[in-house]
Amino acid sequence: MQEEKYLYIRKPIPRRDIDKLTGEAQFIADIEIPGALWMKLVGSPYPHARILEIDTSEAEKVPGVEAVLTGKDFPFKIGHHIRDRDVLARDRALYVGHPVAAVIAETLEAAEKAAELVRVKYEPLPYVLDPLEAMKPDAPLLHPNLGEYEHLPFLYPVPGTNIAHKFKLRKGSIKDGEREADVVVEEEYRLPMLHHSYLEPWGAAARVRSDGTIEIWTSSQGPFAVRTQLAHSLHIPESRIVVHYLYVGGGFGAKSDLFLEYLPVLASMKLNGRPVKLILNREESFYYGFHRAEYIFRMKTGARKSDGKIVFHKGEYIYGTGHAADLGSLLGNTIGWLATGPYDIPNVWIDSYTVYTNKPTTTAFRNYTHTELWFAFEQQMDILAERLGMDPVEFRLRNLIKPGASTLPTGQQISEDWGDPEGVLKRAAELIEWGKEPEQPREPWKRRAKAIVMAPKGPSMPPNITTSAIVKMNEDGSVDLLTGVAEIGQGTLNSLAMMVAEELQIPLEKVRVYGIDRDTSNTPYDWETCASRATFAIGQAVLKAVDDLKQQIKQLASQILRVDPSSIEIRDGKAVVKGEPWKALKLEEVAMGYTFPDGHAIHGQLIGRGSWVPRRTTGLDEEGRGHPLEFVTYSAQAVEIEVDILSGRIDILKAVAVADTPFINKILALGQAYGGALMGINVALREEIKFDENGKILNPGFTDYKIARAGDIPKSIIVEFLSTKLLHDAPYGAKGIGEVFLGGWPAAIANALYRAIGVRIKRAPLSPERVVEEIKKQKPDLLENIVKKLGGE
Amino acid sequence: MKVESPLTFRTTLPELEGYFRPKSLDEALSLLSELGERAKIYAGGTDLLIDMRLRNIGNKVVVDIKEINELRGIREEGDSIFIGATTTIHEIKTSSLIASRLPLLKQVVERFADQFIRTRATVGGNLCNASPAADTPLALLIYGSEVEIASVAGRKRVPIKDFFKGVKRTILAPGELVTGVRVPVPQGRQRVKYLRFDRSSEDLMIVGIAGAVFEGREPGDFEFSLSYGAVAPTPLLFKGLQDAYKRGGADEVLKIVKEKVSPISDVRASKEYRMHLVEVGTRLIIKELLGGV
Repeated sequence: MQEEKYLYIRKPIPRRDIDKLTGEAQFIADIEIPGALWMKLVGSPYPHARILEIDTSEAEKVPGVEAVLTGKDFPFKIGHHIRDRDVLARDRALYVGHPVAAVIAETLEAAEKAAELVRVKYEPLPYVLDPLEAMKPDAPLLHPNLGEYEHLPFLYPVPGTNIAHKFKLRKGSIKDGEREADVVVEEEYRLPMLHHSYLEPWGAAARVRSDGTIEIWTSSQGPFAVRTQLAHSLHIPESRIVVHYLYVGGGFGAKSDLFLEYLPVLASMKLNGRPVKLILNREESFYYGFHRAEYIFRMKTGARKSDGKIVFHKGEYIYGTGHAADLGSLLGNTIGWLATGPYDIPNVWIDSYTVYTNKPTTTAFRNYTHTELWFAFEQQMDILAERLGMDPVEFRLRNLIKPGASTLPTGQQISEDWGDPEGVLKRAAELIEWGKEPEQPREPWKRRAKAIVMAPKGPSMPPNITTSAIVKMNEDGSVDLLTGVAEIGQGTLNSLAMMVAEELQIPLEKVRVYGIDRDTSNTPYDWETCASRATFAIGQAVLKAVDDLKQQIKQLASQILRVDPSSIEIRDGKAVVKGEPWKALKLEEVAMGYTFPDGHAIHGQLIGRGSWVPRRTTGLDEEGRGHPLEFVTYSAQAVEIEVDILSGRIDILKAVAVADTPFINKILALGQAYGGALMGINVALREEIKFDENGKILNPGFTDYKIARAGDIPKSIIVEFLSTKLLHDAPYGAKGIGEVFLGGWPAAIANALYRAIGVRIKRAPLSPERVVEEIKKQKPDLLENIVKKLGGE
Repeated sequence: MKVESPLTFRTTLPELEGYFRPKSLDEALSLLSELGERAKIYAGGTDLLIDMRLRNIGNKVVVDIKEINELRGIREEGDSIFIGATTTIHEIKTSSLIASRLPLLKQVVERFADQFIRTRATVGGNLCNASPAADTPLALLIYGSEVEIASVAGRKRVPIKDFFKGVKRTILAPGELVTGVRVPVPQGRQRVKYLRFDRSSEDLMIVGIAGAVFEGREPGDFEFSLSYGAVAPTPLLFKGLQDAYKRGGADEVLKIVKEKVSPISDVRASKEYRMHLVEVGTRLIIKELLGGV
């Protein structure tokens, strides 16, 4: 088809930004600001305690200490979505690690020494760690003044409770559904809090310049998001804040919004503008950083025997946001409207709650609630299929949304050009050889099985978020591309450069993409690198900017070549008259305008501009009605696992991922796919922040927070990109792929485990210990028989 | 009302009171004798640097023993193999002598942490750190090794089963330095197996079980031993289990083992899961090593 005409698009082009290889890349820890001071935080040892007195006198005596700040220095709350965070805990500390003081000193050594000398008197208070407990009427309240907090209009806090936001979705009638259902499955699923495990711990530096400009360097996925949210939180005009772009060593959502940038900013304000640096170590990243929330899904789903149709789904979805909900409230919202996944269900009733607990706070995590919801929903699907006596793939095919015909429970129409969910599921079934039983291993204590799940991703973003791009020509005919995209490791800069080179038909080397030598004052706006949107959204702005540039080139060339602009085409670095290739101008001849032989010149430098804003999305009303989705990337994932019944260990023998979207750069796309799969599989098998009964983190580092190592990579990972439909306004049809591959692995593995040994695990992760525990509970004979066989009987 | 020490997390290493890098054993021993308890011995540093950052140890004088040649290397000496204290785990893993004579030690070091750590960590450090979850003692115990210890007062050899005193505690006195470990090479055929249960492919062990069958001169005559890691304050050795096995198979062996294992619950695993692994792991090893005897 059309594909072959492309010079660069879809090709496996190696990255051109190799600063990380050469060591030129600058991360926050590399930034040296003359006169910078170091900040060290002091955390609360209690999960909930009244702060009676803070004695900083000993700390202040340490040589090199400039200041010791406490909550009293900042008598206000901050927050963008809901204003519920203290800068430093004021009256009460709300979780173990809650920063109650900040030491600022000439050296990190002095700051650390002084931090240990801060003495705080506490009155311990009752606390609550479990979100379900926190929802009970007699639970200790984290935010007694919740009703007074300022918040964005679409959030619904419930004053007098720990519920920071309640979302409701109602479609059809559950009573009607219950009457029709022959089979009803009612289950509860749970997922724990997770660390994002970015390689580079978060850090930021800030100073206030003498003209009042606040300058910030931060390890962020969204320098503009930091600017917006800080401006709103501190009541400062956006233009007074300048955020510098840096290389970011991974984010996975944790660095997508305002992190702790306000601490060095406010400290610098207190210290006459002196630069202040706060760089967390790994333990601090666990205690002061933002995590993936814990989730509890309670689901009741009914289906009909006659045609295998799901007739109702009722859900109570609980998002444990920790001590603050500034960012978590949006995720609690998303699980609500995402409610029923890619299935068409006539009667839906959802309450989703964002619930405070005395734990660290939470934020976006790659795949933004989808992986978590699929863990519950796709197990629910397999259980229903079994009760109906149906093949789980067939059951899904009967219930999938129909593009062009179905609507989301919010009422949004499923657009036809989003792709083909059925095709995706069928292809994944082919690739995993569904229907063919896996060959069982010789050891009787090992069993193999397959499973397959749907795991689409629709980006969750505000309906009015925008982005823009500028392309400017240089004297030599090359092009500079300016965008606000944050490079967090994914390589979007390369994809954007490929688009510019493709459109102008010039060598890739002639496109320079501004990477990190930028700040928010000299670059066009972009919301942030998140929601699988960078290539999709910024790509559209870039294509518009290039189009604008091309119009200008044609306009200018038409004057010189004395033809109509429409008869000029741009190729091989030239503006050429169609059909008369001898009539042409090199791009360098028009880049700065055109100079006639007598020295007279016209037009000046050519600069194209473009901007983008979502066109399909709206906000949701109180009943959850509206259009939340710009697009969906349909995906299905399948696994073949081997479980060792004796140790409980699960190995992934084969992992299949199919996504219905073309890509821009094959190497980068596969990088996202493999990386996503490994991360999703690891989340399924290993990851969990463990707390003791007092809310203290037991594994604040990678010794005991387990990340997959090389030896844990599945032997076979098969990735396939389909292009069933091209979303017409997506750049070259490419939808987002940054998150979709994190996908439904936890659900797929849980379903495969059940198919292997009949043990259903509704709590993540599926660690060996948990698998053994559940075998002992659900199938004690299985284990006993195998142990007997080992004895040779 | 309570006044609490604040929760803080160090990024920096402590300032040292001193740092020495002796070139000979004599120089090191006289330094250690002079410094006494203030000295901290530095070889691979894979445990020491972590303990220093977390301030588990105070400001000590560091004695770096990496440049003492006689502490390094693997040599055959008569019927035994001597492994110098600063020999790295990687060197043991890639030694053909170890692979052919001490296959259980080879299996054990293959599962030791990851390549970065194996390149730095030393066998002497692994012994002296005395972690209940240390890998190398499991093989060294079964081979009946002796730890060689030197001080200004002289040299001595201690059976490795008497070396460990508790969690992170050994018999070493201030001024003493482990110079290496002497491992007797089994004279007959040996069948060995190491089973290590962990949470990822490069991890600390949840439970480690090493087993060996050393065949004797007469047909049917053999010695069967097991050792266990991370199930008691020190690595555990069970020697001479062949009679119990002959009497009542795995059940009888497990009876003996279970009398001495006393795992704890921690962030890595519960006591119950560790006991379960002891049970199934022991049976698996017995099936593998003695299934056909």
